[in-house]
Amino acid sequence: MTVINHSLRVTNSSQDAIKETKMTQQSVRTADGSSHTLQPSSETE
Amino acid sequence: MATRLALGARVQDGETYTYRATILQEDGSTPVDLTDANTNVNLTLYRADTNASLNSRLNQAVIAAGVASNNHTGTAAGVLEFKSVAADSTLAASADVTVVARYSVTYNDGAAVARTGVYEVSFTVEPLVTVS
Repeated sequence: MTVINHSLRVTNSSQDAIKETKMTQQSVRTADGSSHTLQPSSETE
Repeated sequence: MATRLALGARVQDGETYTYRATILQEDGSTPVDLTDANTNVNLTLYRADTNASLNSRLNQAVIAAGVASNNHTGTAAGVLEFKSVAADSTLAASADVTVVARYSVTYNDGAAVARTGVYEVSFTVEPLVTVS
């Protein structure tokens, strides 16, 4: 399982009315350049 | 192994927030259908400093057999949304507190094989300054 595009927003009266943290999917590299992958049941990206 | 992502957002004590994420299957591209009858999502919301759960959200079912509840919604495209209530962030602490949301997601993949994933996100709840 992979989780992407996280955001957490709050609204307040300051100039910084909306706070957002957004994580996008990142590439996975293997050490030897082969196509072997091991996908855990959970992966937060 | 569960992974924890630290979100940069800071929430004031008692402030509500909206958390949203997109959940994909192990192939990294197929969304988990959160409206499917085989999909269940549970939330544990807790303080990292004491491991105490918040607002009775201790392994709380937020999607049961594809039906969302407890301030959550879910779509067939895998988009999970949590609109918190004030009690979720009312800590009355004297210093910043890291709050963790742990989600456990169970679903069937395309071959009707049950899969379970667990992940955590964290953010900071900061106290309001006492004014006298």
